[in-house]
Amino acid sequence: MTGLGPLALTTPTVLLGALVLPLLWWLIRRLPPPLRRLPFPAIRLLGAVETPPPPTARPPWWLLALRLGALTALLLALAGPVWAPRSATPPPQRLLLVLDNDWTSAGRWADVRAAAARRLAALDPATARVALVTTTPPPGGWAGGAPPAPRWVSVETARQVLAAVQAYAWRADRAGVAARLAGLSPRADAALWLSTGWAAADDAALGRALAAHGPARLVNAEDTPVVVRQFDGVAGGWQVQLVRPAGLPARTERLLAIDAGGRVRADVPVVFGPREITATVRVQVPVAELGRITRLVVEGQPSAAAVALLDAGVLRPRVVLLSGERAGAASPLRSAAFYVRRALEPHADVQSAPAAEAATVAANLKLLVDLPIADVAQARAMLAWVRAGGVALTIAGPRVAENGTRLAPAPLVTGIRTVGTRLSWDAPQPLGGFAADGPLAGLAVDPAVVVRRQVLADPSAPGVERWAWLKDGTPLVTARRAGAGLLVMLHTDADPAWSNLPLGGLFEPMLRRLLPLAAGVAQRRDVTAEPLVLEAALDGEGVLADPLQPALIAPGRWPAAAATALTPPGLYRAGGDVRALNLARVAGPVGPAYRFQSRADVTGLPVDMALTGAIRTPLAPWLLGLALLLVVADGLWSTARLLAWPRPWPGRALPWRRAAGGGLMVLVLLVLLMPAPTRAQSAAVDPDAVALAVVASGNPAADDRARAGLAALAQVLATRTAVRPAPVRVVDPATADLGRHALLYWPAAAPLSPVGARRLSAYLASGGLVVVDFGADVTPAAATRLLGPLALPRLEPLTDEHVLARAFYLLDRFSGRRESGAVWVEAGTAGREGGVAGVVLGGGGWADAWAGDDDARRRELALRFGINLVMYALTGTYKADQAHVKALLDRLPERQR
Amino acid sequence: MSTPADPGRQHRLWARAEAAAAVLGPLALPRPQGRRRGGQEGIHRSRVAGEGRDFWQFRPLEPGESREQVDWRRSARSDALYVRTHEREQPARLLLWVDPSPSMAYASAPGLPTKADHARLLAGALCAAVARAGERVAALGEARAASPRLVFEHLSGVAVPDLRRVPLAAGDRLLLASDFLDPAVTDAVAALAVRGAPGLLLQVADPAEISFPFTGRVALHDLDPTATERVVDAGPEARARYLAVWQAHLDRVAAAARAVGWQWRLEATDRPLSRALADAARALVGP
Repeated sequence: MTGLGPLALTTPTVLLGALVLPLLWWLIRRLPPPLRRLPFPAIRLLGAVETPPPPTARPPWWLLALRLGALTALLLALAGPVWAPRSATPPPQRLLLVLDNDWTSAGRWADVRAAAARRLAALDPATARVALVTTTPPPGGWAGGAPPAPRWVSVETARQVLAAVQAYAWRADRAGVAARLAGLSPRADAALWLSTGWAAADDAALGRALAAHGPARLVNAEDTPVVVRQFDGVAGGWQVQLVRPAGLPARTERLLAIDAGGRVRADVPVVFGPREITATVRVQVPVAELGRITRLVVEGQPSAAAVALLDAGVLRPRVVLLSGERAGAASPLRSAAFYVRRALEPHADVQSAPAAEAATVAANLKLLVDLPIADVAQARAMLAWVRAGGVALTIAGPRVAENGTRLAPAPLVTGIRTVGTRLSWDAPQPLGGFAADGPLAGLAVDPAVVVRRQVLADPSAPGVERWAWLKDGTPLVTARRAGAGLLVMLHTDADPAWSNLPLGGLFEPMLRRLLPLAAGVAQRRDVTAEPLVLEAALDGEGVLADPLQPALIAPGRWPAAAATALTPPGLYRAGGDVRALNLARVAGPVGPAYRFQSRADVTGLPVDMALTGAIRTPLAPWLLGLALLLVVADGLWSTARLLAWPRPWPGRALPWRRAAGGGLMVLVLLVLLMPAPTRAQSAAVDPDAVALAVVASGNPAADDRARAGLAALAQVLATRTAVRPAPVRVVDPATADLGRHALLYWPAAAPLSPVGARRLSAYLASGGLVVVDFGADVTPAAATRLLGPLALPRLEPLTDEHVLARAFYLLDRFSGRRESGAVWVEAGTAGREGGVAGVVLGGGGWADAWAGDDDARRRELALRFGINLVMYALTGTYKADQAHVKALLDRLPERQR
Repeated sequence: MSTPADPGRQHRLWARAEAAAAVLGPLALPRPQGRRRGGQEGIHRSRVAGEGRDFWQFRPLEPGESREQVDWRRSARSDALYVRTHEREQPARLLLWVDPSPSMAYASAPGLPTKADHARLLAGALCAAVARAGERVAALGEARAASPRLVFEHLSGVAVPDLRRVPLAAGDRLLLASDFLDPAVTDAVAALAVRGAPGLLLQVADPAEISFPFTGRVALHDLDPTATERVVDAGPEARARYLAVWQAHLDRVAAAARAVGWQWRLEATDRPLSRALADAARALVGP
């Protein structure tokens, strides 16, 4: 290899070919382009004129340059030039490479890793040694509780290790790593610390440890992350606080509320002013959709810190309905609880509980429908719950009117005020209005609503808020704060006997407005005894994925749980209770005191500005491309000269023939230039294809015959049906992955191995279809010997009543190569009431018939049976559905009806 | 060459010519000035009312007509007023000719018509338009007036050497369409004009002949198979030289026309037919 500064040539001898360049130049000059011969009658006019002899033709200078340039570029490309700029300092022999793969790096992890790879590429692969250290514990924590001791490895090994390193969504253990670095021996020539450059608390220790090893530098893949620090449910949505590094210009991010199906339900702009580091936004979602939102995500930030997982508890208000009405009421339409339930069910999880459990059942919002709480002990328990943040909404009724309730916001006047009856002077009262400062503010007063009976209260009692009232000013909804909670009362009944309020359209919005009251108070959940098991973990890029390591959190520890390597952020489940553990919310690395700080400032290490290390760039592809481009340009020019004469006159459309000719030439050139990836694509395996396979019987010849037959069937399937079969394979039941096959064909000759039989049984249990072909009449002895290990259920002969006889074709015989006896299927699978047969068993020799048969009719019938088998494997008892009975009856022959 | 072999192409050309003539409308020829030569009067009756000596019919006076036109003698016999009309006499005749020389079969680009086709199209359209006005038309060399379609088929009936000897009648008006690359055509014009007929020289030229658009080295040859080709280094210099020669050629033809009092028009084959036809019609009936 010879070099000229940073440019090196691998095979300089090729450059000797440059000697032909003058020859080419001479040739191009000597050989003018062919003379164009054109008719031109007016040339005779020139006859009289003396014309000087034309000078020898010279090619235009740019044509010469084009062709010589193409050849020169080709020669240079073949010489294998490599651009390898040498850095000022020689590459270190021992490089200590520290990779920050914690949550701050996840946003630009690809760049961090690429930077590390370039550093490795710049080293001398033969002699240099590398110590690759990652700062973040893997899922499950450090093996052995502490970071592994760093070791010197070859560059190649380091490269392989690097390829496997991931960024995780929790914080790094830099102090632990720093302690281990002290023991690295021998010392490093240079140390590099690669990250996105944002500091954490234990940076200083690691910085000192690196500096102790020699010249240490930081390599920063600068990132401007936006972190969801805190989010709380508020009425109709969430209040979200976002943080970003200091000193950045004004920028608008977008916060998306994403539902379980991945659709964006709300898109809220988050405006950071210039140099502002925090922003607080409210994400508002229609109440009906609150329960469907599963994530809040900062758009364009692939980081776990920019994702807020929402769990069911935060989202959907849970309401416990306690009814004082007698169970088993005559008519649901006269039950108040019925109306309340119908109004709330679209917007909340409504759970009914017996009145006796009023104090003990856990909920944020309890609805007491005509349930007087008069018992002192029960009332004390309920009030304690309210003071701790619960909301008790009492709906009046005859029982409350009779007994009063201790959960009323205002002292009640015992008895029912009845208006609008024969014995009262007053007319039924319409609605008066809603308090502008209450949660019902803004609801339209429905003039149709009239209240005939109500429970009166004294609204002037201290602390009582009147949220809604009737025309005469008597309260309809009152409330009073009690500790952290709220006592609310609706002063009429929710059944139509007292008023027509529950019948109208106003009742539902009124109750719905009261629902977010529950979300405002602190979360309270059912206390489960089971541990919470990690179900889906957030990876470094903020994507939910299957957990890499199992993780458990004891229910008692949940309130203090933080995202760590042992308990990764994600969704945890205990029974039906799914909870979200977020990176940033409770005790994670982005606490309220967290500020983005530059690591360079914290550690005092110099920053290596060049993100790219010294690398070798082969120039040959570029030069080859240039040569090709020049050749194509030359070709286009020559073609244009040949095709495009005479030139189109100005203002005249290009004649179609010439345009077509030019287009054809361009097309030919494109086709010639096009690389051929199509073949690779067509060879790729279609993941959706239906897999059919032959179970290896131990007899290779029989397996091959069966495979040929199945392949022929697959071909017929592809032409006659919508099934796209995958290439047929022979699988060993003991080792192969059976689960992805729709149908297995077993030319049964010898019993399966115990492992094979067990796995085939598992395949059957998971819904697979096995076609067992004895190739001979089924004898009880043979069947027992071969099928015993499979532990099959009772079998019965296949009749034309079976779904298998009409899964695709209507069949009355199931013969293959041989007209042999009965075909057996699992008992109880014939009609629509039955299950789906997992085993079809017989001696028909179907695969032989599929592969080819002298008797075309026999082969056709066998193929039809085969198609029915595959269709049956794919659709089960679909064809037994009553919906098809009429069509099937129409198509069945008369005698079979 | 007199009748191109492809009848389908002929038919399409004629259809286009007729359509163009329909757009142009009837085109009456100007009446010949002065006394006609003897022996021609009263031979050709036109069977339409017009200027003439023979009585044609009485017709009622129409509103707006002059009182002088009333034939009082006839009108006195009834209550209405009548006008006496005369049969139009028709000595005017249009003779058409398109140059059959090989050089006319030239088109520089596939989308362009050949000079011959363009000339036949123009001549055919003028012929049809004139016939619509009730005038008589004939192909040069034919003794009798004929239908426009027949005339169109015989447009090139006379070879260039025979041009001087064609029979002419008084009141004939000539339309000669050619590229005039053959000097014999120009010479024949004088011989025809001497016999008293007015006419129009329609010089048809391809755009390539007008602008000489070639670049680089080209070998140009005449359409005449016997001609040798000339290698030209087409460039600004060669173009200037050619354009000078071409201008001289145009001037020569125009001078020949002017010398005998004929009209002359240059027609490029890439002009839209309607405009070319309108201009040619104006030149044909003009002074």
